[in-house]
Amino acid sequence: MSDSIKRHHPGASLSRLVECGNLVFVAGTTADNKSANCKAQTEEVLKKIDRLMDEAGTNKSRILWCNVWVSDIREKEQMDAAWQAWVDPDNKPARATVESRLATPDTRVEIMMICAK
Amino acid sequence: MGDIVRHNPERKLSDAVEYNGLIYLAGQVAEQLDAGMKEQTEDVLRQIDALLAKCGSSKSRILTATVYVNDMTLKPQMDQAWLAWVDQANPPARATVEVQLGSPETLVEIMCVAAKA
Repeated sequence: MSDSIKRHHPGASLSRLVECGNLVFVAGTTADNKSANCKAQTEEVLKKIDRLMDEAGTNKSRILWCNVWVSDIREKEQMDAAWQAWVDPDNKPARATVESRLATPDTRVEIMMICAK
Repeated sequence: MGDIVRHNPERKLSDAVEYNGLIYLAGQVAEQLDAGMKEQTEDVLRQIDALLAKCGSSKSRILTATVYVNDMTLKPQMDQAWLAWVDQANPPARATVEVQLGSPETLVEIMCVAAKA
């Protein structure tokens, strides 16, 4: 059996979002405005993810699994404030948040997820 | 969204999400954070057992696991607890990396995906 795979915004190294069967994989997403604080970067990331999920015909109520990386775990509360204001209260995904060194020193948060279509 | 089952939806996230034959678990950390790496890992694995049982699955059905440790030099202690626990006939794909976790006393966090029984 081979479900067809649809790749959105494929670049040289990665696709921003990949659909296969009834699952949608969102690539690690970061903010463009790197001068913003962790909360504002998270808000921007979540807006970007909303748009990507919309392109794949799904939305935040269908998120299954989520990885959050922050560059400083002491800023997790800022990320959580933006998350809490955004997440569908009736459909919260399984999630883990850890601190890692991210691609640039001013990248404060990166989010990756798996959603159902 | 009746096709997605969410377990223990807490303030920010669900502990487990079932969809289409797969179970996605949130990152689990020990309840006893004053314990050492081996004990914290045992604590986490007990919680994973309980969550998988709630979803009608078990450790023999885990597909992939990500283990986050806050100090790679303690990985042998994590591995000791893991080896005593894992179903030797059905070990999952696993990766272990060092990160900073939610609090300085949190030594290990494990995230996994399992198939339903």
